[in-house]
Amino acid sequence: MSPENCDYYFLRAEGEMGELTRAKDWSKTSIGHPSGWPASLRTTVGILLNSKSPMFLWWSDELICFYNDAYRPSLEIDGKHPSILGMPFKEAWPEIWETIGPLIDKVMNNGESLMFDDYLVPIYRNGRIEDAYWTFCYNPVHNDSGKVGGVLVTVSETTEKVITALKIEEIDQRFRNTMKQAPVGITILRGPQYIVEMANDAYLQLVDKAETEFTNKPLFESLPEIEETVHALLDNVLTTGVPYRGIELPIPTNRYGVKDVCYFDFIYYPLKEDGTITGVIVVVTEVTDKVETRKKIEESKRLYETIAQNTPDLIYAFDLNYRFTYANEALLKMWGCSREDAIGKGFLELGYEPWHAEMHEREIDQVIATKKPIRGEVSFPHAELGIRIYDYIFAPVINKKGEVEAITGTGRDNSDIKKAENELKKSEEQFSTLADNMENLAWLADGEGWIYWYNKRWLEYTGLTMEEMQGWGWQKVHHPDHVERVLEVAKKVWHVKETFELTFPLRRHDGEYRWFLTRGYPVTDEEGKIVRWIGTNTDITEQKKAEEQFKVLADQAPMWVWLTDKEVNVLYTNPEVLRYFGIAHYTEFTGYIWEQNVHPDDIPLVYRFFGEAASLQQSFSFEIRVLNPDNQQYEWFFVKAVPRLEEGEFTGFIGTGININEQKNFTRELEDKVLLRTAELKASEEKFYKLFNLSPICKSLTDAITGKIVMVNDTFTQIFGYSREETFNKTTAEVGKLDILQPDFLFNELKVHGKINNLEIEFTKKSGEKFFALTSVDIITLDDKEYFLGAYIDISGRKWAEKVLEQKNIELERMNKELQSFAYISSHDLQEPLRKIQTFASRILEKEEGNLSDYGKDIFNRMQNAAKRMQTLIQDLLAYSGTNKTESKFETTDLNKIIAEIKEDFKEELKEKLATIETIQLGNAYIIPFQFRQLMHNLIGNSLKFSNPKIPPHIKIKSEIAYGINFNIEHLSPQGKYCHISISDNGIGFDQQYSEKIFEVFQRLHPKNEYIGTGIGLSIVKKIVENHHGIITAKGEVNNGATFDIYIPAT
Amino acid sequence: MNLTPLHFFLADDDTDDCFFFKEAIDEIPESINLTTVFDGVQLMQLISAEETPLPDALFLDLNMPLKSGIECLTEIRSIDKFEGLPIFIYSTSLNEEVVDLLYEKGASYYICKPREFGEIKNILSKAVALLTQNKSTRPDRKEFILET
Repeated sequence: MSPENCDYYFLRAEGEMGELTRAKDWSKTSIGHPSGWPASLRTTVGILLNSKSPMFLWWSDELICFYNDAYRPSLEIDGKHPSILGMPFKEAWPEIWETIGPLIDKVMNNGESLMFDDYLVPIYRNGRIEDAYWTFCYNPVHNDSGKVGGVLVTVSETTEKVITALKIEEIDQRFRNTMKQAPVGITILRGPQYIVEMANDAYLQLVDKAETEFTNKPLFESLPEIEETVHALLDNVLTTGVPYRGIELPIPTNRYGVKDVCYFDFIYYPLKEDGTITGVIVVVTEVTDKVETRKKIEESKRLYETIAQNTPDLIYAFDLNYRFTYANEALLKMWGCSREDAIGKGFLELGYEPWHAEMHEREIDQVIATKKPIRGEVSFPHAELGIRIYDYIFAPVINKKGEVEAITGTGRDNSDIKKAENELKKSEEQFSTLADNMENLAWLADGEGWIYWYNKRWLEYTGLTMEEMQGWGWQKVHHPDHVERVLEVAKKVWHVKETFELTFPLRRHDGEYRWFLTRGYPVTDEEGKIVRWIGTNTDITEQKKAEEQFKVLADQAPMWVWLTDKEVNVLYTNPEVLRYFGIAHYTEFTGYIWEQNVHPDDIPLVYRFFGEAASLQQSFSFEIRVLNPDNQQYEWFFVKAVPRLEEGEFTGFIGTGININEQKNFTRELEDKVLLRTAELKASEEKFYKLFNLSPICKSLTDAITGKIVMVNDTFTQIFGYSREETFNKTTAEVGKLDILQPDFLFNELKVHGKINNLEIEFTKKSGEKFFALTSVDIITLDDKEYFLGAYIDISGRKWAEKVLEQKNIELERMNKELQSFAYISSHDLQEPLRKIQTFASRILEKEEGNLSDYGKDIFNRMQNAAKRMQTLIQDLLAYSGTNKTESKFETTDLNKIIAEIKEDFKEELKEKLATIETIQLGNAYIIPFQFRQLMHNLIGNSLKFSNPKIPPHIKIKSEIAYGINFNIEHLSPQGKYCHISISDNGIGFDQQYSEKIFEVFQRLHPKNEYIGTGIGLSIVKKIVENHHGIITAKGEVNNGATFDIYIPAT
Repeated sequence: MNLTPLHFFLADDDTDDCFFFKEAIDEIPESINLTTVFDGVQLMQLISAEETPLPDALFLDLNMPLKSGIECLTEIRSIDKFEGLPIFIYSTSLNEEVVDLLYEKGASYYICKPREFGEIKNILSKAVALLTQNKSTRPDRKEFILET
């Protein structure tokens, strides 16, 4: 035996096939014993037997088969294992030689490798035949000579892969089928043209297209109507890869022959292949019905909501826990809170009173239990309107199962209705109370005229009971002559819905018939049906009588009297009208009558007033001339018409016409007279102008309103130096250059006193020269217009004189004062040396008496006397000048007291001369006491001095108070009250011719040696009287006494 | 009869009157020392001097140069030292108002200068009599004017 097969390295391999290969007697094959195998065969077989992957080898031209354990399973299927080991191909696979043979030839002959993918080669494994897929690789194996010696088949199983692929395909198919049959429309669009790759039935149906005409075409070619809506959306998905989801998108459609807009939900989903977007999957559901349904629901909901929110009624809902789940606007308003605050809240939380909340909760319970609505009425304080009354209904909301799910409620504010009801009730009560108490008869009837109620007054009037009167009982009290007529009318009026009026006589309980006006007012319900009649009957008997009286009166009236209706148709004319216009009856009175009788010029007037009368319904009057039938002359008539009103309603006119011919003529005469008078006035005005212009006194005429000069006379132009034109339209103040305040003052003066009298005003001439003018202004009326007439008298000269005089006066006064003080001082100082002379003289007489001769003594005595006289003179002068001082005070003084003092002064003298002073009714006087004392001193002194040496002096002093008028003395004010003091004596008196002279200073009536005196005493007396604003007179007769009368004002 | 001679001050600017005054007091029985000044200033200087003894009476003319009688009267009456000094106003005028004023100012008596020398003597005798009887008492207004 040759070396055993097992000895060969290349046959050394584990496993069945290694064993079988070694066990095989290869010598019996064409390739012989392994010892003789070429190296390439040996190597290949070694790889084959040791490989775990399936391998098969055909070697030599005979294609002897080798295979390994891994390959074995695929041969087990058709039972070729192990028999085919060492067999030629043709013998082993006669059945496939035809197909495989040429392939193997290719490899053998051309040295090519061949690959066959995914061959289904069912194999037996795991106890059954299984489909398996394989990928075969036919590789040439070169022999030692470099030629192809065999074919090595390597196999890899691709069953898994193939099965997966198959499964995928199946899914794909199934997907497509599913898609096809899906109830939603699906289509796949490819590329930027959106070529329809596929569209399912649903889609086709949606677009109303057959598959054949739709697929493989650009989408928008088939459905141009949707391009505008969706093209951009698709583009966006295609470029960005972001899916688009459209919900209820309105899309125009054109299908089933109808153009429309329908609603679709759809998804555009990008189709990605190898990372790039190649198309879009479209999934569409039509939701048109849904949208439309929903729209309808929304619409009806909105409708409902609008109603609920806008109704003044309250609408609301509760859940079963008494909580509000809905409240409309009206209810929120009632609560005065917002929806947010109200929803979910219970009654108490919403401010209901506890009793109120409990009541509603109880009611809700009842609704839930009975499943029936419930109705009620309750008051609630409305947030804005206050307490209102609500009529409300709670109703259950029942679900399918028949359970109460919620409670709805409605409420209605019926406060006003309630109020109206109450008011109606009240007003009816009031009406019957009123009706019972009113003077008129009143009744109420139903719509058919059946009278069901009469007021008390009616029953009293007729003396019948309500029962007797009710219904048609009223006929019983109607006058038999009228009842038929009234019935006739009554039948009709009930069917006419208008107020009616009717007059008829009604029988009173005592049998007397009185006339009544009945008025029926229909009362209608909301539908306009008459529900009742309210009637009143007014007693018009008096009215009827009055009408008759009016007629009697009018028939007698000596003027026209007529009546018309609303349309101004004549209803009546009195006989005077008929007579004047020559007609028999008022019905003949027409416009024609006017035209025949009225003066043609006045006819338009008649038509105008009567034409407007019916529409204006106002009083009117006019004057016309009417032909008098008696003398065929036109005479003036005053026609007047006033509206006739009955219960405030216009019913026509009552008119009169009065002959005013005489008045008219009188008026005309009067007017003529006025014209004449006016003309006369004009003439007098002309006279005035003439006088004005020619007046030698400077005059101006000024407009009383504007104050502007209207005219000036020649004298004015001469004095002021202005021409007339220059003065015109200026005020006098402007022309005369008055200072600013003066015009106002003058104007005021004029207003208050109506004139200005002799006022001194300084004017300035054109030349600038100033002058004073005595100005007078009067208001005069010319041509019905007021003017100021001014007159100016130049008083510059007088003014100057006055000024000089005034200065002189001042000077004089100053001099007078100087003189007084001079007199006083000098007389005082004069006394000094005089006193010394007297003292020295007395000293000489005393000391040197013995040394003087009798002659010397006599001379000395004379000197002493002269000195003494001088002393008296000076003292009197002093007194006289002292009386000028007027600052002395007046006092009411008892004259008796003064006389008593003077008596004391003259005590010695009175005694010596046996003189008496008699006072008669001496009273008080208002005097300067010390001056008056001086006065009395001087007068009494005089009386004593100038006494008749033969008889003892007797002085009478008396006083009285009386009015000036009683004294018959010039210069006394007649109404002034005076104190009259008279001093009379029985002395030597004086010649009356000296009665004035005696009061002059230094005037003496007697030689010094006879009567000592300075001639100043009476001057002082007069001066004192003058200081008392009084008068003194002297009466005397030689040797028969003197009387001095003093009159001074009494208080 | 008083043994101690009285001391009179006479203030008068009229020298004649001073002469008459002097003659008169010389002829009345009382012995009187007389000091004469001719104006108010002199009077005030003299009367205010420490060494000058207080006179028994002051005869004051009103019309004086430099300082009038009224001024002197007012001044004297304001000085305590002269309280009680009899002041006889010796003036020609007999103006009631002036007399009132003098009485008010505190003069003791008022003498109107007489025309007869005899009267001067009489009135001065009266004054002396008043002084010797009750020096300090001021008369009522009624008796303010001394008359012969």
